[in-house]
Amino acid sequence: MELLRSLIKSRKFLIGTSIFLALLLTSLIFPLVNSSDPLEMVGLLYEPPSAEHVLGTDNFGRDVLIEFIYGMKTSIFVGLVAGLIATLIGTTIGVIAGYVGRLTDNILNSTTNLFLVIPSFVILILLSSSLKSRSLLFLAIIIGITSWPWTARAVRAQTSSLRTREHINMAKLNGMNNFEIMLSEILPYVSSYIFMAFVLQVASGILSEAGLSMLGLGPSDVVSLGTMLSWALLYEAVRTGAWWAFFPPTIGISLITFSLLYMNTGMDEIFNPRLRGE
Amino acid sequence: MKRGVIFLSIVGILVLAAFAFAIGEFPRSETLYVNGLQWGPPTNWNPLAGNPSWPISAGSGRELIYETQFMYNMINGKLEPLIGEKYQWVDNLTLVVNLRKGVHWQDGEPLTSEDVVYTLELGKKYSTGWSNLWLYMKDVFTVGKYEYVVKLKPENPNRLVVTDMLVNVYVLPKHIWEKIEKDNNYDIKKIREFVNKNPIGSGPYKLYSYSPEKIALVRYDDYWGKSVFGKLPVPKYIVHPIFKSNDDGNLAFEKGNIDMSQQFVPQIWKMWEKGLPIATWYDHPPYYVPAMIPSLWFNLHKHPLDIPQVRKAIAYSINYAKIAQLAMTKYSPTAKSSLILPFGGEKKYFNEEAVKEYGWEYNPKKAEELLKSIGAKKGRDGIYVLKDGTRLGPFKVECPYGWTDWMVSLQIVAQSAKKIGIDIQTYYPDTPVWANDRMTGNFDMIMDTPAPNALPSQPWSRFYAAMYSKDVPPIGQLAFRNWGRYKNARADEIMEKIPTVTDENTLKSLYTELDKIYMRDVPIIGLEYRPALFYEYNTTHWTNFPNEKNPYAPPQICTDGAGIRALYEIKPKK
Amino acid sequence: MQSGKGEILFPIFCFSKSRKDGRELSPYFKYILGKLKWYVLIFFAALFLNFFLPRLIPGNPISALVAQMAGGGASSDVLNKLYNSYIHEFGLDHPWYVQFIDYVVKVFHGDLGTSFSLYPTKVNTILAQALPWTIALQVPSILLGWILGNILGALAAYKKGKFDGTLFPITLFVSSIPYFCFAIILLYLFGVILNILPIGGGYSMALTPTFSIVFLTDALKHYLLPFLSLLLVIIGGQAIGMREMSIYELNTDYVRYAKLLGVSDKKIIRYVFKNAMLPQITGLSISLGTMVGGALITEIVFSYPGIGTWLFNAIRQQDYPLIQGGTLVITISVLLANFLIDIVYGIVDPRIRASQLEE
Repeated sequence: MELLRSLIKSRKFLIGTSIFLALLLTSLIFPLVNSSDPLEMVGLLYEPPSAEHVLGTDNFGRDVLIEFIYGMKTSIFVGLVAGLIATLIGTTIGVIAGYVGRLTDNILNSTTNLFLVIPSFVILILLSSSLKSRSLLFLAIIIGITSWPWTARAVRAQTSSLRTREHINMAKLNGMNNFEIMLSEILPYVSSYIFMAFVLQVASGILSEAGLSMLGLGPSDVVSLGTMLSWALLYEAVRTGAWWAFFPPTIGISLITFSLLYMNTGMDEIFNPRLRGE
Repeated sequence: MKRGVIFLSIVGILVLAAFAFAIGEFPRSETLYVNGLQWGPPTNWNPLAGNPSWPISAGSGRELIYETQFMYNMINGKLEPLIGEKYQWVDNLTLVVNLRKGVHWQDGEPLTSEDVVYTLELGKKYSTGWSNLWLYMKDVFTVGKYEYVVKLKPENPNRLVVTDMLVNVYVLPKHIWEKIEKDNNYDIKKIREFVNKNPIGSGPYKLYSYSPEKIALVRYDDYWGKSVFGKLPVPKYIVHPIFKSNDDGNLAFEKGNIDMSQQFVPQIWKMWEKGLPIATWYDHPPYYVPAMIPSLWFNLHKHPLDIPQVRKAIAYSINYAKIAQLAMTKYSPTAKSSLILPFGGEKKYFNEEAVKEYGWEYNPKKAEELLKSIGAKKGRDGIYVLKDGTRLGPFKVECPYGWTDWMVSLQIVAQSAKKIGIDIQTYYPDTPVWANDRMTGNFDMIMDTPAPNALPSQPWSRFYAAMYSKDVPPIGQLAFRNWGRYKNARADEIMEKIPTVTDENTLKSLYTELDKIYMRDVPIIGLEYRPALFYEYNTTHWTNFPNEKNPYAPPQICTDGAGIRALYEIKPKK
Repeated sequence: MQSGKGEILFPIFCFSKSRKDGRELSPYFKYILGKLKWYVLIFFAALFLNFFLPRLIPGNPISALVAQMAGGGASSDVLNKLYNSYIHEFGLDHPWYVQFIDYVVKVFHGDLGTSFSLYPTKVNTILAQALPWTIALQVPSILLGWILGNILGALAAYKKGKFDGTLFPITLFVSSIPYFCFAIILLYLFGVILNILPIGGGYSMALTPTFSIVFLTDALKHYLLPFLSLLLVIIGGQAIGMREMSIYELNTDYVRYAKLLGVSDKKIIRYVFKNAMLPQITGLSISLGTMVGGALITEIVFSYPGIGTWLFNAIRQQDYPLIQGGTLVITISVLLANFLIDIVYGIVDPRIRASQLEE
């Protein structure tokens, strides 16, 4: 749509997207080319990088490079799912609150603020420790259902400013009910914000997964960037100087997050011309 | 604004000046720093509570504050006299123990046979760590001030467990604990809440100070042992800093801020290869002296793990050499398929031929043959399916999160099983969850060590913990051993017989038969050998630690059992 | 614990001077009162979550406690007796709503219960000695980070050009690095390679906490790395936000108009930043929850003896009372901090004082 066309004009958006896509594609294509199992123990504890294992081995004797690529795939996957869920919930709540207003707005707004104020990380830790299943999907879902408030808040603000616009009144006069109005008159106008929010939620999802996994609350049989960090910490990679065990996941997480945030800044500049600065 | 700044700085300087300098209160050359034995903030020093802090550990015979009657030496299996002078089984049902004269408590009161009898009877009155003795003891009574007699129950005479008591039960002062009992209305729950911050024992150290960051002991210079051993232990202070993670503890050890460590340090040889003055008991693999067998336990009542061929197939699939090399970083010889240790005091019972003939080893081909022999077929996903349609997996194998060497061992188990077509997933719950799963039988496979102590009663205790079926509540209720709820009448019979036999040849054949039953039924699989306690030391501030080449004391971390003799011989570096 | 309410009410009395005919309350007062009602509501919701969530954790901490206390070889009826007495002591034999009411009553008396894992130590004792460490770490880093970050962001917006062009991606990258990753890298650099700073804990094991110069300097050495890792990432995040706000403001009509009128740059900047500050203050209250969370994770990485490390260990040990106590303390602190920020915001934003009551 014209949205995308205008976005391409932003350098920041392009750079951010290309980095993200490059990482994503590598993680998707690599397993098709190389069938090694990242969980396979091919060496001893913390062997330094060599010709055989370009990034050395980790505490389980697994090849760090292979783990890194699979880990990126997992982390991005969790980020996308969590981001999707959070954006869906947040948008729904935000639009309803912003459009309907009054009591509904008050209740929804209060709930949103409640979740914003109570440190979500605490809720996340409690929820993830209380689940017996440490599957990836589950993790993504809980992250999604605890991180929506941010989106809800932004979407609500936008929606409530739209509420009084002319075309809304026209639609009301035409006999559209609330639901139809929200869908056809409001959503298209906030879509740019939703898209931006989605990008941010993905970034936040990846960070949350990394944090949780690093604390040992993530899945134990799957490799993600966060679990790589948690093993590195638990097995004393820092003290023994095995930098290859924690550096790659750190760079990975930071790069993915950075690319997404850069994308978001680019989008912000396009949708908010005042931010472009002259 | 300016005046405010001046005012604040004057106040600041005054505040700083008002407080005294506290130069490290423990002079380095008089203090021995140890770690690896206390992982949380101190709770209490009450031997009757369930969770006392360092150094209260009767099970391993830590002789610092309280003492046991004899000191166990894990290298030669001997019981060396401490409070007790000699013991004798005058017949199968009667034990006579003679105590040393002149032993006194840290408050000056003399230690007599009444204290020992009182302590043992506490186990009858309340539920304590040694209450199980009363399953086998009928009566305990004093004979004069320095002698007491134990009479066993004729229907259940277990000399092994009662002999263990001589090295793993602390002797408590009657005159103090009688009062504590009374003050707490003889309610064991209240007695357990007593912190006991000024513990009066008979040992050479007293509790000096404690905080969430460390526990410190100070030497009791009027220790009764001074005249008997001719000297006092050399360190005036023993301090145990409480580290939050392995990292911190190991780094402090590397830097020489810890003199003797009980922590698991992976690839410790790298430290002295780096030039650090660090050493272990052996200067070659396995570096430590093995004493126990961490094992994989099956839930024998869960289908299809109730089929012996399935369990045996898993046993054949595990790459034990890899566990020893990778998980234990060479601290363990490759595990053999027996519940008897092929070293130390147990070596005489280890039957090499029987193990070869009836046991297992790493052989993935044989594992698959076994599965095929009961009609299992490999499914499309590479996992075997039994004739009755049960898929071999997913099974969960668990160990506590944070027990790093165990976590790697289980990864190897899972990977090995996957290769031969059994689907095992690792699961690392937190310690209390794992402990509960263990006791209630809520697991498919779980990792644990049967009888994790070096004791005179091994290997009997190990078999007892793994296979003895009587008095084990069914799955769902709390049990304290035999997590898989194994049951075999002949095995029970043998385990009841062994403690009553003294003839070595009979014992050997009984153990061989028991081991054969074990190898046939595979209730648990020994994954690796492990020392009872890790023993490594740094000679930056103290030297003359015992080791293989200088074995004047066993590697029992200088404080346990006969290991405490090391405290009298180590020298500070000037 | 009773003094809490008093501290909240005090500033309200200070600002209610403009009570004209006894009926008209100053808009500021109304604003504060509204916020207060809201916070009390959140507090109770938090209490409920605090109580409920730990109970979702699977496994039975009482049986673990019993096993610990009973020692080996206990018979089943001894175990049962012990089990029942602990269940009774912790009130777990009542239905959950009774337990909840009991919990709330106890909280208002300041009794946070007895820890399971460190039985019989009281939760209050544990948290009381952990709290100073957490506050000492978080308050300076968040405040300083916020101030420095805003200055940096404003500077970048003002200077534009190359300064902004290079600084922006760098700051963005730095703020993309999660707190704990940054912490690990700093740990490695300063703790292991350069070996000039300790890699964990609050202070060296040879010392006991006293007010002495030796102890303080040692504690400071241990403080530096966790503090830095928090500070740098917070600065990054704040700078980004402030830059955006400032650019936004710098391009508004009133700024262009003022420029046209020939108003001095300095004056314009003062107004611009004053306006850009407002959303940053609200931004602070929104992101406070995240920052506190990040700080707690950093504590865990450095094994810093604050609430974060304790809470985490409590969760691992299924220590319900300690988990509840810890999360409660964290939530109350965040609520208090938010309320303080709202008070400050009310003073700084003239619209509030003028008439506005809606957000």
